[in-house]
Amino acid sequence: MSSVSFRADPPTPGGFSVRVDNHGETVVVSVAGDVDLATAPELGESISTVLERRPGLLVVDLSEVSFLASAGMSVLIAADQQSGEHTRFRVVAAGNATFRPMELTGLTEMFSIYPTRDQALRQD
Amino acid sequence: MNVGHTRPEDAQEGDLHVRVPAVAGRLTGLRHALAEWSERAGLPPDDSEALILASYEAMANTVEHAYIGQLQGVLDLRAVRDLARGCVTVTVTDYGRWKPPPADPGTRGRGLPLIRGLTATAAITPSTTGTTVAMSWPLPTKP
Repeated sequence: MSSVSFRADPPTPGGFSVRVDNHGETVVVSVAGDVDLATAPELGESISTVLERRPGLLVVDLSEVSFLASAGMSVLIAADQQSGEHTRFRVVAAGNATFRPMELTGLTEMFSIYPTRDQALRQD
Repeated sequence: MNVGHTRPEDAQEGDLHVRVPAVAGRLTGLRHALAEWSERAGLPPDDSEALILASYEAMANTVEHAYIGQLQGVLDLRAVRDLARGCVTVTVTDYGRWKPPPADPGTRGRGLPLIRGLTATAAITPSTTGTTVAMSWPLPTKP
């Protein structure tokens, strides 16, 4: 397993960070902090780079995200589209900060959302 | 917290009124100021989170769209308690151009639906001088 942390330090306002863990055909992108107008482009670049390698499964884990604005949701929609036929795209989200905005804008109908990372990884 | 230029002349005690440059970097500070304000105003946590996110989206819309092709613009953020109507109202005003959402927003365009999902009353008023987005949430009735 290899792991790459983007912008580990200095911490950005809102503690935004993206971490990419490669487990063979599965890639987990763990996001923390605020995903807003200022930080969403960085998340988009990280996900896009992962998807260029065409993993079998991409899990974007938003468990540690404290604030999710529509700019962040645009990144998730783009990721779902870029995933295409070859990559299964899953999102981990629970609670008001992340699940509720996605529910209000119909994203919960667009792609698979799991309450925990384990469930997102276990599901066939 | 110093989040911008305050204009006390038309602000009442307990209101929040700041004018800042409409740039992405200023929005985080405004969001935290709104969080403190809505807590002081006595909003329950769910409504407080809705207020913070909806207000952020209104401000983000201004940053992204209002001043395209212009050097710099400002946005006014006001948050007031309206005890007579039993609600809090947040208004975000810019002095640029209202850009109607495209028919097919592609991956974007979730800001306005999100605002409408987070508040029962979202009034968007474009005018020749700019755009105002006004959003309200009920104040809890005192026992």
